Amino acid sequence: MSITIENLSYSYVQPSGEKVDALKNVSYSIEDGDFVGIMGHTGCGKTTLIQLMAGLLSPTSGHIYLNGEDINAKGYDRTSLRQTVGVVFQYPEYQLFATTVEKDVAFGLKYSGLNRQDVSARVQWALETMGFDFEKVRSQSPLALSGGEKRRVAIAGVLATKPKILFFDEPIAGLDPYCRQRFLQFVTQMNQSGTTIIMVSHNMEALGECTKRLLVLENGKLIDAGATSEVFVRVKHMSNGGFGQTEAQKIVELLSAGNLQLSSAIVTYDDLLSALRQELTGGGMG
Amino acid sequence: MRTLPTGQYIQGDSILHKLEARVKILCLFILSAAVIGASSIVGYALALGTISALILLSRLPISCAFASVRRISLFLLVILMMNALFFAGENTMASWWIFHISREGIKQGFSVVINVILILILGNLLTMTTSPTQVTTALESLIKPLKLIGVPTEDVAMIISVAIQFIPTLIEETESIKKAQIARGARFESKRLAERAASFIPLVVPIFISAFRRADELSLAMEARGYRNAKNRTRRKKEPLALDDYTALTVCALICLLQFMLLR
Amino acid sequence: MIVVDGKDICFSYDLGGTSFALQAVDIKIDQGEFVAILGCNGSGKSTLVKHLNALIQLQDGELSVAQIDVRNEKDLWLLRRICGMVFQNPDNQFVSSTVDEDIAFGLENYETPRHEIRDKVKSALELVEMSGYEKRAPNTLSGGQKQRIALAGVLALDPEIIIFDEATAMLDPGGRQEVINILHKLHGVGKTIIAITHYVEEAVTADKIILMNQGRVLSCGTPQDILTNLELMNEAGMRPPMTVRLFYDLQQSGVHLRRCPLTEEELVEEICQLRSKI
Repeated sequence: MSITIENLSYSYVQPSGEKVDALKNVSYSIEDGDFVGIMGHTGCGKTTLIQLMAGLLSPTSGHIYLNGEDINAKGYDRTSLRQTVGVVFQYPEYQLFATTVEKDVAFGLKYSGLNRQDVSARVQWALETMGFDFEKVRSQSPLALSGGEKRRVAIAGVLATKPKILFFDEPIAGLDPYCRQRFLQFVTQMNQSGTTIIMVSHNMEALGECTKRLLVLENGKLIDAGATSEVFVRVKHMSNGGFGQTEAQKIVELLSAGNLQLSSAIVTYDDLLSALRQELTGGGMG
Repeated sequence: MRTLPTGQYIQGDSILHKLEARVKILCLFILSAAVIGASSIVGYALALGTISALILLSRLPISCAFASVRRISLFLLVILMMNALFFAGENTMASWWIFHISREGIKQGFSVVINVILILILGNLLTMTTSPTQVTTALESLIKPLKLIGVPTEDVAMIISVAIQFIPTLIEETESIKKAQIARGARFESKRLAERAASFIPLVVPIFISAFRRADELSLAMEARGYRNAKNRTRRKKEPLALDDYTALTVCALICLLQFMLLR
Repeated sequence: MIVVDGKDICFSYDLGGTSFALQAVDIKIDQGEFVAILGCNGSGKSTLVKHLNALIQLQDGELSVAQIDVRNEKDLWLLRRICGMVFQNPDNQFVSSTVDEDIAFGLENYETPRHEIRDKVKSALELVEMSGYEKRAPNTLSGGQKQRIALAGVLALDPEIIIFDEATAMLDPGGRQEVINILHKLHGVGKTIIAITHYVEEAVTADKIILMNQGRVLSCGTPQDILTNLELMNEAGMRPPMTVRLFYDLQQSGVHLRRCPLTEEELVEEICQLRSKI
């Protein structure tokens, strides 16, 4: 499932009468099976962009094409859009509402046209994909679970419709390191099995580890796009380093000040480790 | 970005902004009575003239004053229709089954609608020229007499003040949860009532839970900062009333008096 | 001077049940120390720290903070003035629609005379580097700014001990850095700082780390002792800092640095040192 956005703009008027241009003329193409990260400072338009792409907002101008079809065209099947596209918002555990985990996860399948047995099977699949023991958790109240478990239930609820595209808005916010790693592994697996993934994140390490391509937004404009490692290198020199760097990049910079030059393409921990191994095993040893 | 039900506070330094909040609240009541008391063309002209003067004095754009009126336009239409179609007066122009169209009915309909609009604008002018804190402080001192019948007015004022400041946050969260549920297929805009009703729970339950959770966390934060009850706290400074305040009260009272004299 | 002295603290949310949020926890903190409490969600960090200003009543064990026994109800309000706390969610700490009134809230609770309040609010705003924000509405601020205002509200009471209960968890990197900078500034002027976090990077500069797991204190020591100990960190479910992981991964490839570095500067020093030998 591919998405193409063309000259997308979004503005709204605040209560005080002030007009806000949240997104200005953004164009980009995402291929089927891609894993795209979106990064930028708070207020740059990241959340607005994914809401537009997921059809939750109507653009002020511009088009969004899902597999070639304009999602805002008259007569576009909105029901199937909801099944094809999944959105996990920030702190998704705050949306849980049903009396049992099973019911909450099944909510998205209400208009799917599946019969009761199939719905049950899907719910089971979604919960097991998120690491739950289905029989143990199905009749529990979602509110009785721990924070991390709640988040996994909320994500299962989105997975249940087997979306072909998944949007994530700051999915690892507030998670401890162990849960963070588990999530990144899960999302990488989802992408490997064919789901197109678009992930907004502040966390440079997470973006570096998982995404193949990166979009950089600032003040509503798309200021850079391309392969993740290349974009990381370019943004370092942008807006007075305001986007930060990955830890690996920081170390490379410090090393070059100490007269040890490593490749500027180093972005992730693994890149750094292999570069250091080469440098420090005195050529051929170890 | 949603607006609040009443006009949101917009900073400024007009005469209206500078008036004491308690005076403004009292004037709101007095002028509302004056509006309701209008019964003739002259009466309405007086009411309209007063409100136009106030809008000018506030130095705020006219569209702001009318903000909430647009939103309830459907409701106002219903009121107009109810009065125009069902009121059987002396000058009935047409009659069929339960429908009676009379001059009184139409007049009554317009009268009620205009009253509602004018009072709404007055309310808007109050909330747009008075900060939430000023409003709650004023309310706190105005409800003090209730202490005599055992109402814990300081606690009530604290609750109102804290709740008001949460409104923008809760509204934002409602929007956010609504979008999340729409993304999962909830049908808030559906033509079928049953579907709309079914979408209600996935919105209301999380908001309620969120409100309780926030209240829980906030009460801990308040305790951590030494809050024990609303009584043993430094009192807010009572500003003495200025000449402008007395003038405002007097003018409003006069207008109201005039309206009732016109009634005769 | 010891400002926090706790022994054998036990706590269960489920009285009479078998699950304990805290088990036999000992805690000792000196005046002026910067202590980081590390551990996964559910390790008991927040529960422990809420005992310090008596937001949670001590069920079992002994605990005194600034020489005040936490069981002493009469001194509760004095205790909460001495020991201030900033919470995780920036939105759920505000009581007022303007910054200056919100900061004044704590002062009003302690019946501070009206004429002193304005100056104390001003000084608190200066401390958190947000002078001029008096009339802003808290909900219009960024996450980092909100936390700084919440902190100002605590600082206005001039506490000796300041607890940061995962205060950076919900902030973006910029906001997190703002709060951490102020934290270090406060430590620099002699305040005792207790910071709960699951970001190991924030604990690197602490004087002492308390590592918790499943309601128990796994270990207590310097960042060097705790963060470079792989076994300990794994047991606590924590990922060691990147520099530590590099040290051990390089070791496995036969590259031996002299010592296990904690900070990036130390790592770079060690690498350059080794490089110069090759």
